[in-house]
Amino acid sequence: MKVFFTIVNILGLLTIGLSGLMATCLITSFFTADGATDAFGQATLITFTLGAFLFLSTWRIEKKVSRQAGFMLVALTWSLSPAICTLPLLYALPELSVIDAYFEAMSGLTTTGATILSGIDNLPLSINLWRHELNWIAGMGIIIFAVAILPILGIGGMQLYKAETPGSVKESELPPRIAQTAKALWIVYAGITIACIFCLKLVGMSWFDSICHAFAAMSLGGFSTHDNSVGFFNSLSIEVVLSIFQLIAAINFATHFIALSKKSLKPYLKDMEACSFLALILSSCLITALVLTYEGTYPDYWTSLRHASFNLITIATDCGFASQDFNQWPIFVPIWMLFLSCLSASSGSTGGGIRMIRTIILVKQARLEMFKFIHPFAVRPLKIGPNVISSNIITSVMGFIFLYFICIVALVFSLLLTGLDFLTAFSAIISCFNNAGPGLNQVGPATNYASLTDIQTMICSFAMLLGRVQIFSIVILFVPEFWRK
Amino acid sequence: MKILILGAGTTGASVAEALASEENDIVVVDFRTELLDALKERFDIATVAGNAAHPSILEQAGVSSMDMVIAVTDRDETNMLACLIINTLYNKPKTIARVRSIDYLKYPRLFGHKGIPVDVVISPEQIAMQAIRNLIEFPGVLQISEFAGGLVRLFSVKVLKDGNLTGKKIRTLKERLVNGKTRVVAIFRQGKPLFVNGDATIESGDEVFFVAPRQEVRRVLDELGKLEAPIKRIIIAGGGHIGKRLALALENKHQVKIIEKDTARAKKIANDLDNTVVLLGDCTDEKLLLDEAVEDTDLFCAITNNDGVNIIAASLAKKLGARQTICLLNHNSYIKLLPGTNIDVAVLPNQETLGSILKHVRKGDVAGVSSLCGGTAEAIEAVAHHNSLGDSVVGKRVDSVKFPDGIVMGAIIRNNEVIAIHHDTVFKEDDHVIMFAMDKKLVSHIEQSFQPIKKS
Repeated sequence: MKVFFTIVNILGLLTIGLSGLMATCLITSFFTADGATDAFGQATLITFTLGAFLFLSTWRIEKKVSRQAGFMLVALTWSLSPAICTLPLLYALPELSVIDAYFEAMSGLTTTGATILSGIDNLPLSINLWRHELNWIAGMGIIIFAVAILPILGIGGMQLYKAETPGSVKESELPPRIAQTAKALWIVYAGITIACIFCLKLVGMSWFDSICHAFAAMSLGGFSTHDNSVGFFNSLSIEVVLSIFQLIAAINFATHFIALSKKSLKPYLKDMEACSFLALILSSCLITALVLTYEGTYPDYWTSLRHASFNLITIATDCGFASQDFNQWPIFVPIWMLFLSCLSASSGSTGGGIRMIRTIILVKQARLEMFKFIHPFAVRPLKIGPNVISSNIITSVMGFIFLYFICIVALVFSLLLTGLDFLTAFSAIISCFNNAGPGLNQVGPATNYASLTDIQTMICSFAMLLGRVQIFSIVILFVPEFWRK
Repeated sequence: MKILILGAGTTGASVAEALASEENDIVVVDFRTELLDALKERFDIATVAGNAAHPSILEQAGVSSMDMVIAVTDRDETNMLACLIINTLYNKPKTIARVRSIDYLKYPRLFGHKGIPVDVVISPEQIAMQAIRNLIEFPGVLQISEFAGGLVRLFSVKVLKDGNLTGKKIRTLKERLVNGKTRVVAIFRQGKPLFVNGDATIESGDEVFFVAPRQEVRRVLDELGKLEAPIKRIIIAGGGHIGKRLALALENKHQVKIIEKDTARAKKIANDLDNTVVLLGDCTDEKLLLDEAVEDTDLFCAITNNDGVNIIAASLAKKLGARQTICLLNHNSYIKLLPGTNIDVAVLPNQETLGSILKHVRKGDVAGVSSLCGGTAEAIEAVAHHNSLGDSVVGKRVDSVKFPDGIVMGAIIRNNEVIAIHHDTVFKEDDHVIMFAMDKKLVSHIEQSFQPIKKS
């Protein structure tokens, strides 16, 4: 029971934190008089009371955390927080169903950025801010949740850091203590976000749009304040600025930290994930632009390059803005974009999916197997840079990727079972599972997830949750051994 | 000279052997009494059993009257510590220490001023590796060593049946190959030295030694038709210290495979090497060698720590079609087996190490020694000095210096330049002279002629 109370205690603390976040929207709402003040007032009050109750009721009980508790905490945090975050949406938008609101909040807190709301442009200002704050805080959570929350209990918490960011090979250059690491990464994240806000303002956005889009870009969430997403602005400079910051957000924040503290670009060259990622994105942009030109989607190569680059980057980094209806593009291009969304983002970034490090390990392992056909007696380790990857890690990476594809297949089948067409089902699951955002066809960039039935919406919400917590943390709860004493 | 040798292992023993026959007082220290007993039986030396880094043991060995300390125990730490202790507690003899670990060798400052008082650091692995690298740089050459800071190289080639050296007299060679700077210094026929003069005839199967300026080596080899296709594919048998370092040095320019028998060691070197194919297996396993295309291999280096395995692996590889084979031998006596095999080149790390130790033991002003042909012959780089006894070479013409038969002048380096040797060339102060002594016993003549001013 000690473990249970510990979890309740931490969730209480988290709920209080969320009420604080709501309070910022309450203040915004009060000063802009956008009509959502009452909704935020009620939501903040209820959330704070709930959080305080959970926290204080378990305050004096001895704390104990185990491996199991760690996994349960991850699962509960990512599934219950969206429930709490639906409160302002439900109060402010009475016509919204609970399932849809949960989808929207889940989409925010998993930094997916898929939306179920229409007429976003006309929503109260504070509701839009709320959605983007969810993105931003979730992005931070993804980076530091594991390294910041658990140390409060006075334990190492590395078992969770493992669950969240596998393959992180740069621990040696970061501050030695987890709390310090978390703080350092938090500062980097916040600092780059501020830079992004100013850059966006500079290229012509309003302050409000700048803040919202910076939040969405840095967290790779991808919510927008407009139905047409970034297409609304139709500005090359805005697209360029957002692309750059999305690329930054898809690179390991630990690498950013090291590069900033050394004031040098060398750490990026040493970061194999970042190099492979940038090379893959760059070549993909050039090739897809060629395809678009060749197929006559856009009149010339430069227009094709502009639209291909922005949309490809935003989907590949799992952000999920859109500037064009890429649903209308030759099918190769959007499917390639979704493919990239599965593997591009670095570990330790705010992106989702398989992560580049696992892709690299998998590719190298495949090459190693070939090599062993030719040299049956050879001894060759799998190396990333100078680091030897142990066979335990390789096995667990392969296990992860197997599970990853099994989950996608299972989720696609369950959507097909509900009667959805294949392209919609497939793209929606890929997009939600990788926390990218828009899919194709019925859930394409020109439309949204509103057309889905309740059961389909729930499946998509689950896909987002599963993808965000790296599958294992949820699936392990269904393994009988997990519950055995 | 009174010399203290710490360590009676392979190197210690061969150093003792080389020096004991040269009228030195030698004391060997080791904690393995059985090794000491064996040494004492063979040579006229004193021994002390115990830890070579303990002051009491060193005192027993009479450390305070020693002129030189050679620390060649198996442990780097013992060698360095012994030098430090001797220098701190007793007089300051010349210290030579063997240091194997790259971790120490990486920091030359460690042995410099204020560091550990080691005058000469010797790394046998480094020396053996350098020897092998030289052979890779000049395929077709049997032995190669450097003098005068690399300005001059001494190298030997094997004369083939239809080669363009066969049946030639050295006198006729000179016009084509030699411009006074490149010289033939020795010919070995069936392992025995021949007296070299202008009338000597070269026969097939002979090993001919040349001395040439560095930049001429390639031209001479080319002229001899000896310059072979560059070496690309290399198989290294044995992943010990030398094997790993060799692979590290070669893997970016050559295709390197390394065969190691021990699973743990194979994993370890596979982790440290990037472009080398590390194979787990026995280097005498024919199937493994064939699987790894030994017939297309340009160079097969058998450098395990087992001489027998090296000889077998290298001959097997040669039989299976490897273009060139190098075999590492720790026991000098095994070199006598090589003429019966088809192995191209033998590398003797002990001999190389011995050479680098010996140059510090020589009485005259000797800047370099290379021990050749299983230790029977020596090449010496000596510096000419004026001395009061009048037996110095300075001021004399080359043809008026009477060296016994068996000593051949190879090159003179004046002001860092190789100058041509003619019969009327006059030695000057500070000339570096490279000479070839066919027999070690002749070395004392050289020492005498290059003795710096004697203590009165």
